Amino acid sequence: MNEQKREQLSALVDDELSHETSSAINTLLEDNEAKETWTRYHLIGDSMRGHLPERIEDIADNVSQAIALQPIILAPQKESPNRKSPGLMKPVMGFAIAASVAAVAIFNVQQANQSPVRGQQVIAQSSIATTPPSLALTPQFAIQQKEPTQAQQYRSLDPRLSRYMVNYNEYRVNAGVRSMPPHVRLVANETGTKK
Amino acid sequence: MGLDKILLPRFLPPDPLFQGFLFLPLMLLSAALFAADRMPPAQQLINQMSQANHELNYEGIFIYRRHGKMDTMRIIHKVDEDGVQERIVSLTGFAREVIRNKNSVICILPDSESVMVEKSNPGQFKISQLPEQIGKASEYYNFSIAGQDRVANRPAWIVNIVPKDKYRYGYQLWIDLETKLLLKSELKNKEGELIEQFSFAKLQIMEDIPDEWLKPEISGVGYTWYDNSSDELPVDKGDVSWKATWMPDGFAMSDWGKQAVDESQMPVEHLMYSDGLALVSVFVEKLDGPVNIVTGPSSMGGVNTFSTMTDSYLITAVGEVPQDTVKLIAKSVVSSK
Repeated sequence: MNEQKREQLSALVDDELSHETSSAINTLLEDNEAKETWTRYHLIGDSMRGHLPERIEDIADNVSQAIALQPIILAPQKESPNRKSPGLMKPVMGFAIAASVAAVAIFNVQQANQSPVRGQQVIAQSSIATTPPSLALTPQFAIQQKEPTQAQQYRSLDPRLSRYMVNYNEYRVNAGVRSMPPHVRLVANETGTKK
Repeated sequence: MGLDKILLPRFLPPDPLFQGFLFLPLMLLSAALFAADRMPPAQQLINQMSQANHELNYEGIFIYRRHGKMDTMRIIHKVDEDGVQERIVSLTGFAREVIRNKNSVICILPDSESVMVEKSNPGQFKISQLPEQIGKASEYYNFSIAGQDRVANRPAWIVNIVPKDKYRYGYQLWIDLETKLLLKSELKNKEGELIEQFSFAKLQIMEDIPDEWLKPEISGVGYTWYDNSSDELPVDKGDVSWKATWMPDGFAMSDWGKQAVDESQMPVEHLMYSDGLALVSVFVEKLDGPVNIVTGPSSMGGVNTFSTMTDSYLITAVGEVPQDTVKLIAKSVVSSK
């Protein structure tokens, strides 16, 4: 592996992933040595930040599998009418959990394809969800979460659902056992990465 | 008498009467007291935790993790004669804020430049109801204390709550030894896999909280305001016109209400079901005319929702329970009239 490739990898690991980099990942990950370096760089970065997961999986494999399953990679990124600045499209910043690179890549691919729902894409997204990255979720749960992605992109902006959430949280305060202060889930930047 | 020899130090007088009738019971009693101090019943700790939140002022920083994402937030919690006032601000991503007091919940959402105002729950916290609720829940969950840990530089008890069936989530709670405040929690599925996590990194118990700390950082000027804080309509149980025909064992209707909202002409019906620990809300709303509604599953952290349309009514189940549970509940809702 040459120095240029190593630098590219390092840049990929350090920088955010943009949709253009999907093809770069693809090219780089064809090389087995590069794949190992990629994994190693992430491990180094994650261990420096103290974000190593309980179980370390093969990140590079997950990324290439995820990309292989995605039919359209370089579709033009659709501008959301609600986007205030390009800064909003920085989901990587929020991904402090270790080895979530595969998840980030999937997220970006999904965002790159935010055109109206087409059957093919929905199927493709479901199959991506079956290659769970390092998240401690069962494949079954991951599918449940990934299937509504298109819907969530619309519904996250739906004031009705937000209103239901607030009302639910309010009654949750005094009912049963609460596992966190009310409204934490609303304060969380859930929609910020899904627009 | 072998027991006496093991339990009593050898230097005690070898008088069997003295040992057997005076010292041994005393020692056993103190051992029992010590054990009670070291290992309180899980249910008792949970009750104390709920109570502590209504008695203490605190300020802290916590992390919130779900689905491979993490946010850091600051919380300010004040208790006075007006009840609990709380402000939560996101320190990562958008500076979203929620401020709640006895009257309203104000959600400031800079990402969509909007402010949402809802009425806060008028129901009063009733500590007397808690043991009853938890007692009921123990039919559907196993409660235990898993030991001690340290969170935000404070020693804590770890309480495990494991569901007995697949329709509920389990909880692991870290409860402060000293104040009984909740320091950390994990929501888990039946298999014990993590769904979301809340954990203090820094926590400060305070005598008093300055009022300025509870004021929003964002003025909300120029933002779109959605005010739904109109009063709830008085409603009898007889007025409730919808019901869920399926619920996991142990869930019973715990509350109900109707709320007029400006977005819809008909008031929204809100039914609440609880098994003593988890809560599922069912919202039924009449939609007039063609409305672009996406039905199906959705989630927000550990809360799952499922929406379905019946005639012109939108039925949505919302709960801290698995997706399958909200789906089955939402699909079972029928008109009871």
